Amino acid sequence: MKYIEVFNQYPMRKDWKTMYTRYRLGRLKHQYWLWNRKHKDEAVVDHYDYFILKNCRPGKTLFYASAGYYLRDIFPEVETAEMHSVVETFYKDTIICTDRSKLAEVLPHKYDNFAVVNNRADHWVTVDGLTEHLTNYTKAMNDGCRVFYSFRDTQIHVNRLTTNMEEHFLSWAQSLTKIGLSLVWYDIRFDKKVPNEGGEYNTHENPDPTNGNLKFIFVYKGDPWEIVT
Amino acid sequence: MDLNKTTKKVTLQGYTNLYKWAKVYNSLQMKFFTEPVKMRRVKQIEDFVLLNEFEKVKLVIDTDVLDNLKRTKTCVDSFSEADIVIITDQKFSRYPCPELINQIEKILVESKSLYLCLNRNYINIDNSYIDPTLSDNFCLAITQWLRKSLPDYSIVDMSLDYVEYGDYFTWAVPDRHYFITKK
Repeated sequence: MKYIEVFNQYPMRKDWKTMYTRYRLGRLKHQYWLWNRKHKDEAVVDHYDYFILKNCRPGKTLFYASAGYYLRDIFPEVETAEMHSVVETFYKDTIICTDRSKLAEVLPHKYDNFAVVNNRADHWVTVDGLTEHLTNYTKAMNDGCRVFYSFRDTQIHVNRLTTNMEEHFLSWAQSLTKIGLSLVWYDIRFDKKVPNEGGEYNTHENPDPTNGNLKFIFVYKGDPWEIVT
Repeated sequence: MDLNKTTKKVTLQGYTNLYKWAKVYNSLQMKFFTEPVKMRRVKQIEDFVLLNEFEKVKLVIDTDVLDNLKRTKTCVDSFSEADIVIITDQKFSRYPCPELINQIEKILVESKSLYLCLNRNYINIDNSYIDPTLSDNFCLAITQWLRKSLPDYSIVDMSLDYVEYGDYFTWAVPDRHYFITKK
């Protein structure tokens, strides 16, 4: 028996089942695809994804690393690119790009709507790391592109005891004008914990762990619009 | 985008818990490896109990860990029966900061010692606590906050100091390990 502290310390299996399971653990929305493929005439769509689609402008739309293929089956205008090659094995009509810096070269064109919804691979960085990711994404955007970006506070490096996190993340989003992204809308939700009648607190996660409790919409080198709710 | 173009009847899904693996998260991850592996953190806790001769153990866990302790020690139901309380349950880290301190004190009224594993990523989950006097090193800041909040208790930090990149099995056994007893 070997003792392991870090995930990449020992070789991992490369068989399909292992790769698929690892993908599934981090891509909860794949479940929607699994549900929907059983029904020819009906489909379930996540409320936040639908909100994104309602706010897209005419033109090309990409969901990157966000299980967007489940949406493509319903709304064929949606294009999808993923970071994990295992996706190609069950969904042919997707583009695989692991390296964000190469994304613009790999994609067939630039986009007018660009969504990254709680991409687990974007996490474990400071907000500066998120800026770097978004800088790479902007290379695949047309001017005026609407950018939908969301994540969880719990997976971003920040000293959670010395920082007002709401201010921290909002201030970061507002700073992205330096890479051409102007903040149009945001929804930052930390669970407001209050004791129940028995004096007990809930131990829930922050709201919407699937899509992320920190949601931002930007426009890339363009004008804001009236958000459709 | 014209959302009416679809030929399917669309049902919107509000928040639903799509996560299904919490109860078997540890064993599921261990199966990814080409040879048998065991989480070092689990070994650390098991050896701590063995080498310090704790016999009656109260486990507060939320996934499939610490099986060795279940086999070799007497697992009791209440805090008051236990020589040591061991908490790896992620939910404990999701109390607001002041309530987390209250919970520790409550346990140590009943039991002599506590081995507490906290998930750093959940600390101050509700963003209601800010103490700018704490260290810039978040790992150290957590220890400082515990010591400041529990002055009548001895707190030994047995964690490693490292940057979390999501690859440390933290969601099976949390990363910050504290042995807490009354002074």
